[in-house]
Amino acid sequence: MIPMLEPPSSEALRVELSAFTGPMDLLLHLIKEQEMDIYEIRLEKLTEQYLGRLDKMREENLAVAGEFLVMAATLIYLKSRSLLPVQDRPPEEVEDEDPKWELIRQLIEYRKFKEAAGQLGDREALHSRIFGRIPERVVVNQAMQGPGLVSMFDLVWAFQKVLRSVEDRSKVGRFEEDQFTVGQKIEFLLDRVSPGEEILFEDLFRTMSSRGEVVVTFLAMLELIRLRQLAAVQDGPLQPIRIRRTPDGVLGVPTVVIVAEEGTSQPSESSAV
Amino acid sequence: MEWARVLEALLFAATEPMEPLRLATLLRDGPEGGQGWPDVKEDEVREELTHLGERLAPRGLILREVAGGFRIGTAPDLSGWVAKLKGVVRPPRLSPPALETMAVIAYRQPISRAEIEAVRGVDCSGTLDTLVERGVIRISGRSDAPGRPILYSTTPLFLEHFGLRDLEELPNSEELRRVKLPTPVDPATPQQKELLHEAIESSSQS
Repeated sequence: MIPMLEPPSSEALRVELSAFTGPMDLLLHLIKEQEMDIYEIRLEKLTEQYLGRLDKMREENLAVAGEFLVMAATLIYLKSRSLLPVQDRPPEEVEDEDPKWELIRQLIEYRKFKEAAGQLGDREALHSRIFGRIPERVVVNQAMQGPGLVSMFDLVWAFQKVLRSVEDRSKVGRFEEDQFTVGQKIEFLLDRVSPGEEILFEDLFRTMSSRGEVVVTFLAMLELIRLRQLAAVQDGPLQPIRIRRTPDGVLGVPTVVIVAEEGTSQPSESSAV
Repeated sequence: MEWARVLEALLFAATEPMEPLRLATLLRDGPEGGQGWPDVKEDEVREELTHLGERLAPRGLILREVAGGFRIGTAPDLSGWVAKLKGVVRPPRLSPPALETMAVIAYRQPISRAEIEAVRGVDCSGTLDTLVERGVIRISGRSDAPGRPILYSTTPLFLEHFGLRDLEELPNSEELRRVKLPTPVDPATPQQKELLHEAIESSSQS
């Protein structure tokens, strides 16, 4: 057993700190604790209490999140401002309304969402206790298809899945597409999969963000399969497709046959390397 | 209804909420190579679903209307038993910060991270990642605001996770959707102070 190195008090303090989801939460707590009317907050008292809390955290060597410090600065500013007679305020501020209202408005707004979060939490507590059926693994007769063989349809289906995921990714933001060539991608594939090794079909495309790049890479893969440098293998129906590199020195000897559907005896010719 | 049994079987076997229209279509089309009930109406399905819910009530199962459809589940008071069977220690629940972020998104979607952070006063990137990972929110687009920030919205799984029929069923949705987020109010005049007072009072009553 590894001895407990942490003093037990630190655990309790972490609980104390994590009890607040942020500076707004802490402020609301203090307002409630001081039995203040949120609309009649006493800035001096509130600032003092708030800074007291932060000091306590720091005394215990707890890292105080930046947001708590930003709020401390805001409170100090508001407090000092409220102490100045109106005519002594910087001229550009005289016109503005009291920034205290901005904070109060934020607090009221935040409190509403905090209450809503509490209600959501209650709903979650109830509904997380209800269990529904979850999708089960589909059992397919293994004899339907010999292990090791990947049909052209399976490969295209897997490719479409990859394309869809790329489309999802590119919705987030589209940059000017680079020009990719099949030759370039053949090099990439040979570089990625060492002789005799294999990689998951999907993993090959994981880093790619454009449709063009995925299509060109797929063409390069088909070309390499035709040249018997790569083979697509699968342990059974619906199992992940793996791309295997033919071991060095056995060039031209196919380890796995791509089952061609009738009428598509060969993958379409792609541009030569 | 003679097809009530079929309805029950479909709901039992389903792994997602079933919309009444979808159930009606299944009943009308019939099984593979068999006869269905071509005259079944969506309303009739809805009515039968109510009956099914009533029949299940005293039993170990419940019928819930969530995320626009109907779903059979185990009764909440039996969760301990089912959890033990499934080897679940504690049902996965969201943390308080995640729930806060969730609430802001639920009421104000689509919403950017900056807008959420303006309400909560804390960095929300971590909780947003968690919520996306849990599948309760998704990236739904980009705002026209400067920098074209990413916008977040809730998913059907959100409705299911919190047992909501639709977004209208969110508590206090009317009011929370109205709350002004970015533009500050100016309650400097006594009249406006009065208005603010009223707003606070009405919110604490509801």
